[in-house]
Amino acid sequence: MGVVNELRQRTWSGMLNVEVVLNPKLVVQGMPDEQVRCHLRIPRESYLVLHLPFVLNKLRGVLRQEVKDAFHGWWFGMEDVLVHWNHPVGTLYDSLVGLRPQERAAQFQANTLTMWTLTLNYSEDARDGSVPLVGGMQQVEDFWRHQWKQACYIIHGSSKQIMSLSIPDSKTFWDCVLQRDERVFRGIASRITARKGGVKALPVRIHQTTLRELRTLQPTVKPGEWGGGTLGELLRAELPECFKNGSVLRPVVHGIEVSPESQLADLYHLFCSFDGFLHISICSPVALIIPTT
Amino acid sequence: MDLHQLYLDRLRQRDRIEGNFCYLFEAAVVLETAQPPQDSRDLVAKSLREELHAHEQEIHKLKDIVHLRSKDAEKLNDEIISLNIENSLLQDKLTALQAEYDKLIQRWLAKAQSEADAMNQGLA
Repeated sequence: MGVVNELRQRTWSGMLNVEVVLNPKLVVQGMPDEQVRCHLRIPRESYLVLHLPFVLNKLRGVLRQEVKDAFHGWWFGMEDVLVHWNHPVGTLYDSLVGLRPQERAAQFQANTLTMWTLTLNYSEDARDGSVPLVGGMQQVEDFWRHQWKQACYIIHGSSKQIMSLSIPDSKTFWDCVLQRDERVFRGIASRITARKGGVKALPVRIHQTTLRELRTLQPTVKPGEWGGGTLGELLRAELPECFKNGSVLRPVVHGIEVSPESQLADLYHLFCSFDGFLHISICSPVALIIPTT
Repeated sequence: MDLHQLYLDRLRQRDRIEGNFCYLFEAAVVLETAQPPQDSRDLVAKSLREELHAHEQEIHKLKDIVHLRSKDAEKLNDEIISLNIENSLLQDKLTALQAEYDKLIQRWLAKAQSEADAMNQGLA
């Protein structure tokens, strides 16, 4: 397998160990600790809410309330911070735990367990700043398609490439996300992203974590605008405050640290996410602790 | 080192770290919706949950009523206090007026007495 192919394959197949714990308010009193949590392996390249029905099936036995809708009202939290459902799982993990891959690798031992602990909560009213989830799986699919339309528009200046997909192809495209079929997914995605004579702009999102929130920037990234169009130049242009006092930023993509010298077009080609965007996580100097045990 | 090779090595390292003890974690499956109750125990649990929910709603409703009643009691208490204050002020005023009235009666009686005395002297 070529280096690029393996890179893209690993990007697609990355998985995270996730522990989901029910908010104590949702649980029948006196339940043993192990009954109120479940342990899952979730693809980095998916949305957390796609797995909500599965999680609720696992935990419904100890819930105080009947599960009427497996999507509406349920939300994941991490240390009392809302975990938005509308970003890829891997990006959320990298950003919210303040991942420092090199340090993590240096500390890794054979008995190290890397696990992301999330709390599952329920509230009738939508949380501030979150996208309300009222339409179940269909809404997630529609949202994902809109992401691709945006990405397509940024690349080509119009959404024609995705809008002109046949209905079976369009359906297959989403099914590939659900069924984790990389080969077919890449085939359809490449038809949307390929452009003769180079792209107009690149769909990039920068996720910057501060102590209590996740800030997402969507800059206009036109290759060549900053000379070579490298990641470092983009970050200097978009986050100048992070370079004060000689600070060194360590951008993370798909759980690995990438070089600021990398060409953005190359990074997009290698690490484009399942929603058509290149997600870059930037951890501020005051980052949260990596939850390893 | 070539950047692609470097990234690939890092991804392999990432997978090794994040995949450690992965056999303890069940692969998440995408389902359209939560499965409906399947056996009689599930159905019993469902009806008990519904009953619990109904009781919780009842408790919530009663708490609201208690809260409203406490507010009413508080308001009535405030009203009693203000009426008591008004009552004591009026009592003070009444006492003052009573004293003034008594004084005026005394003066009137004294005046009538002096007039009667003067008339008696005239007759004598």
